[in-house]
Amino acid sequence: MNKILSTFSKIILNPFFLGSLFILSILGGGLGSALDLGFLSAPFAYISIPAETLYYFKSEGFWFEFMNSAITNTLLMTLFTILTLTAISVIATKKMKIIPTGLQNLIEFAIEAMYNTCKKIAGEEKGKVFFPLIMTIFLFVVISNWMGVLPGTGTIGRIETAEEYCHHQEGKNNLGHDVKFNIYKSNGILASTMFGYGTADYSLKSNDDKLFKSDTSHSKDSNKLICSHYWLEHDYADAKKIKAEELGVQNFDENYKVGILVPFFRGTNSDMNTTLALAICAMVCIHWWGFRYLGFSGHAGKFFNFKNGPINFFVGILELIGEFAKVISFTFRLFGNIFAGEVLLFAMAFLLPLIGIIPFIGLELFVGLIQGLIFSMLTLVFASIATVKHNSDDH
Amino acid sequence: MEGDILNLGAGLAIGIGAIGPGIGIGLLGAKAMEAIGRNPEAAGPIQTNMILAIAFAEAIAIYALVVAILIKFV
Repeated sequence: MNKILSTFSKIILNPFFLGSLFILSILGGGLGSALDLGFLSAPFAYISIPAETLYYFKSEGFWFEFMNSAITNTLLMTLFTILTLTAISVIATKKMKIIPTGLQNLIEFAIEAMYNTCKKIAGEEKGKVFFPLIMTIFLFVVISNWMGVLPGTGTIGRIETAEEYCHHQEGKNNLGHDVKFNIYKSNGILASTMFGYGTADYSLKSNDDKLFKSDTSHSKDSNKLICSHYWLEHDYADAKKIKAEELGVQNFDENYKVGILVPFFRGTNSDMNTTLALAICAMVCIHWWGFRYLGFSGHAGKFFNFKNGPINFFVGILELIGEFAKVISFTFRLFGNIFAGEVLLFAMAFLLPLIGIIPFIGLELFVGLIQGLIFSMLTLVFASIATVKHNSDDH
Repeated sequence: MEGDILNLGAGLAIGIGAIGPGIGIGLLGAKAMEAIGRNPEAAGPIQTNMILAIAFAEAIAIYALVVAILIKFV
């Protein structure tokens, strides 16, 4: 077994093998397709900023309202992250020893390092209070970022056809936006990209009566495009065929599907809802601690300062705005980094298909760790600032 | 025509938005190297603080990137 592995690694790490792989991937990838060589290339994937929906709840009621009527792939990944963290902590604390080994040692090292940092920045007393939130944020963000670069994340999924998509959007009353579909072969290979039912491709005049014959929900005055279940199935049944042939897909028939790829898993923090929720949790805790340590008037007095004249009042209002800016900055820093990382991996997989993303996966692991560290450290610093009295209050 | 201007806007958004953070990260790296050169024993904490500060500068470029992506794909 060992012998096979060592031969295998010798072949893999051979510079000639790596070099030929590199040349092969350059010629076969997106760059080589300009020379009519792109034998490994696929069209650039369609990038969707909102998380794709995996399952729509059919019925009305509590779950419908609570889950916003759908389970998205990022929500599923969040649940898996929570499960992973739970499993790690259960396994690590199952057989605890005085002198820790293995997983227990690793977890103790991480917790101790963060605990000491908390006490160093916020002080002995407050550090103990802040520590649980800081460590929770750190572990959740780091583990979810790392799970987001696992192979299969964002690539394995099912194809939601255009009809299904429009049907669901109609159900959510979310109409009149531009959407781009891809054309897939029935075995899942991407045949062409950017199949637009957009204003640019099929501009439908809103005074065209027969398009609205079954659908009274559309206003006739709105000059927007129509993404309609009914429209796709009946009025423009051959619109897909015409458009597909325009895009160079010959013999468009039932072996082809028009739709979008809905990955089963997608990195948790590439959904703005997750990062916003984390940021709001962090800021609520920070202000709760502020009220607890300084009292109501002490903490609120930082923002509504009536004592020291109009300039200080204005400064207080600015600080209040700054608190909301912190939420936005938390949200977009994490979302932007992780989402940009995903797009980067897409782009590198497009340009250099075989080996292009390997160094960038390393980069993404590093960025995931750093972003988790930054999120937790900033929460810690903001919390320790919020629980300290302003100097201007003293006189 | 509209699509062309959108592409141009996305390119300009990230291109101009990356200038400031680029200068900032360069300054941070230069000062950190200088500090490590003067006091090699403090390399650990300096590196940690440098990475934290670089992440702040980088966040501004990320805002520009988000805007560019919003222009291009939404």
